[in-house]
Amino acid sequence: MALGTVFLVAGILKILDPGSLLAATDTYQIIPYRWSYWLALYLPWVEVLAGLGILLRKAYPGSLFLIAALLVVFLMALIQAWARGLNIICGCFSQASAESTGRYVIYVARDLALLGLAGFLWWRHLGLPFPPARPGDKE
Amino acid sequence: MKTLRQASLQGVGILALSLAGMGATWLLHPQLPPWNPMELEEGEILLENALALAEVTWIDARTEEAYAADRIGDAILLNEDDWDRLFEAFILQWTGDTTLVVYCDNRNCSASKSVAVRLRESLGIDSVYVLKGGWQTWLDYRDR
Repeated sequence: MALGTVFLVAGILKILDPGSLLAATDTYQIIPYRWSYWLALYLPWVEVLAGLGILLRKAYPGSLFLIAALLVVFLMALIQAWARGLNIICGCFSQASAESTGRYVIYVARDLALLGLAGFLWWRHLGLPFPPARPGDKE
Repeated sequence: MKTLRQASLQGVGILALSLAGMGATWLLHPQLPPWNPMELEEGEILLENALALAEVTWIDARTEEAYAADRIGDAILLNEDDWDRLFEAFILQWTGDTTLVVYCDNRNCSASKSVAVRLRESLGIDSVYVLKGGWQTWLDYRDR
């Protein structure tokens, strides 16, 4: 529920304000501006549909898979910006104004937590026990 | 294996459906971002317009090292690395009757935007602009 809600809300906010997402994407300095432009229009819909998929349990594995993939991409983008010492706007949720830097630890920790949650849900979807049974454990 | 194939197919379906959403945003959104990156956003000013201002105070939102190396005219250093100290120094230098134009490294940096937001809030004035393209634009202009 939580994972789906986070992505659904984040996606809706970004659809309403693509300019903020574009400004944020541009600060990561990974792709040219025109690519960022289309990404700012496209990415929020992926988040909304995948978030809905999890909440409504429709196309559940596909939604979970996409969200995990998105989180990995977000993490890589954050880490490269961190390594380059860039002054970024997170763009994680829509925001009208620029924010101060130095929040990389929070962003990365949040993405890792969400990625862990996605992994846990995937594990459960596969019907595997949690925590995983050790080789010596009895059934 | 079956679950993975199912997840991949559903994922591709969502990605394809999102294309339709992107098209809808592009066609219907009332406030699309500028297609040209040099198009002005709210609160931004072009270099030529800033230079034409009668009274302007440049605010350098880059690092202290970058500021020490070079700056625009008599720019005042003000960044978020040490806001309280620098803001105090800025207040002592600023006459209060000039337009403030903040710049950072280039069009990709966000420091000038955050400094401009904080200046508007702290001073309660609207005449604070962000230089479009930042320091890089100044260098291009100076080296022309």
